[in-house]
Amino acid sequence: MASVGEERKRRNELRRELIGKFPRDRSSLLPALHYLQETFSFLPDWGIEVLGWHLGVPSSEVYGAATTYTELSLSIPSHKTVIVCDGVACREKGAIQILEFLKEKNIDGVEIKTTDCAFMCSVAPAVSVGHTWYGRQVPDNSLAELIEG
Amino acid sequence: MDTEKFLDSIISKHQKHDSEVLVQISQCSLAVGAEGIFNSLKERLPDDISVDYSGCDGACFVAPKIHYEKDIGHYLEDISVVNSADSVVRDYIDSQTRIVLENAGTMSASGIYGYLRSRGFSALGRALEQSPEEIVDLIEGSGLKGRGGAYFPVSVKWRSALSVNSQERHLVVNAEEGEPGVFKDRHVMESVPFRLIEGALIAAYATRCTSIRLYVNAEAHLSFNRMQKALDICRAEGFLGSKIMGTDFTIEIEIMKGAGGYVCGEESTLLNTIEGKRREPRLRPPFPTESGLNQQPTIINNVETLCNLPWIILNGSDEFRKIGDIDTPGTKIISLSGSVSTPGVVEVPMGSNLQDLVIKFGDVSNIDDLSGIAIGGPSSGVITSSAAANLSIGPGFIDGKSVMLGAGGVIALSKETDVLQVVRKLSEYNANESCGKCTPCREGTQRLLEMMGTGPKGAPTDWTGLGSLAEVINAASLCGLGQAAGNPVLSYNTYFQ
Repeated sequence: MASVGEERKRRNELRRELIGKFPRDRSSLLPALHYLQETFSFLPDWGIEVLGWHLGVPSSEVYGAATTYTELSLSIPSHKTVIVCDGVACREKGAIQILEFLKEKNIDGVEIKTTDCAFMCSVAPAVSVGHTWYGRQVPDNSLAELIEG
Repeated sequence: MDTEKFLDSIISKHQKHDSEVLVQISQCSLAVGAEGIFNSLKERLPDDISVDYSGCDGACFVAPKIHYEKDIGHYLEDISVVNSADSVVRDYIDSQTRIVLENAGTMSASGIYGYLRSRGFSALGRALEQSPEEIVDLIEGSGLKGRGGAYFPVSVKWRSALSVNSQERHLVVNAEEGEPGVFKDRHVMESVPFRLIEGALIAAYATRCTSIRLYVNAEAHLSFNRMQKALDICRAEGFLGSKIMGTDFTIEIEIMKGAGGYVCGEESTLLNTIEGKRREPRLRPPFPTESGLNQQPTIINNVETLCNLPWIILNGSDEFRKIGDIDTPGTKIISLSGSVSTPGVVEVPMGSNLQDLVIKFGDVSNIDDLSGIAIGGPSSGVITSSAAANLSIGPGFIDGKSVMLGAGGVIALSKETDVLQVVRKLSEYNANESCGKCTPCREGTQRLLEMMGTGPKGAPTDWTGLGSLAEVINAASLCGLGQAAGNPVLSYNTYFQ
């Protein structure tokens, strides 16, 4: 836990950064949320509060807007995340087999998620490892190595 | 200074490199190693051959690809890459009708000169020498309709916004491509970013807009970066900002990123997210053309729609009307995927036969080997491959019942695929993406899923009940997502029951 002094310091620092980057207008909300997410890899609650102060928007409303977006996350990403696209097009090319393979492999410290479409249907099936997408994947050891590496 | 002289002065500043190698880097090709090829070519090619990148030309099935005019074959010996001039690629592309994707893949996407040399920005120049009314009349004459999925006549939308007396008027470029199975706007932005900028500027000039926002899907990072770079170049070269192309026309394009969610592509939701509000649709009327962004008249046009404008200005509305369907002239970009041998992006005339399209561009030898075709994503549905023989691509319900082309996603389903599972998947998507504002959509989509069961053996029994619930969801929801959320079930009822 940060001490009260440290807590105040980091809030002030963030506030100064936000003042420098985003005009005090509600239309800055989404770009500023993106900035928070890029900086902390999630939206910490104190960051939401600071953003609310800066924009003059109640933090409940900042929270309300933030939670409607699927790309924004309110919790710390704990594991290495692998995303398997299991949309209709990727399923045609074997996404389900990839999911089954990864489930069976059960690689340590890796969280397997799915998405409804990665928009890479023309190079299906697509798998994302550490924010990079890989197309035309097959359920074999090279995929496991890619994830472990 | 007239705009032609302006263009000449810019082109003459830049000497064309005799031998240029373009590595086609798009979201699709990045996922199959295009960047590695770009880096290794940079390393091994001699200094007199420049290496640059373009977007994907649409033949994604053989990606990664490179485009070059001079023979550099011996440098490529151990690199596995396809030349974009190979017959397999040429056949695929040359049998299309390309307006929006003209020169995609064979023109640099990192700099403006490739685009300028292929008559880029001369349409804007010509437009700026005419009055805005003349441009609106021309577009009305061309019969251009929106390509985002609703196919609303562009000139009607424009005139509606123009009829509102206001100091401010906004143009929003909808690049929030979020329909599963559709990846065409990404291809457009990644391969011809300057065409989109030119189209947006023409639209803004014609409709006397005071600001332009470009709203890009949150996951389309490459499209975002490429558009941002193209905007910077345009600003530096006098195609954006004050006194565009030496005329009195002054406007900026502001780029922003969405944050995920299918409903964000719905126009009033998109406006809410720009204003920093919750991601949910607004009540209509008032329509955005009367009261949109910050309560000012706002025109929202899709990427593909705007990219048609330069061509229409240069070639005239009569030429445009010669392409495609009499009621819906022009082309449509189809995102083709699923169980086809050659998935990719295909631009064909409106009115093209759906089955022919899948056979020809998907390289499907026996159409009866497909159990069905999913068209238009979760807002539409599935049809049998034989039913596709009588359908052509166009606006609205292409079968008169429950299947829409939407933004143009076509996914072929193999014989092994259980079509009911596909319908479940599409309905599940609608249920997950429902923003929760309207009860029929929020509760109805969940109930649809429950009634459909989960396991392959749990096939639903009450198809009449499912059908009427789907109809209620469609009839009683506010936005496009809800109004189409019942379609997958309805289409299954029509074609597979």
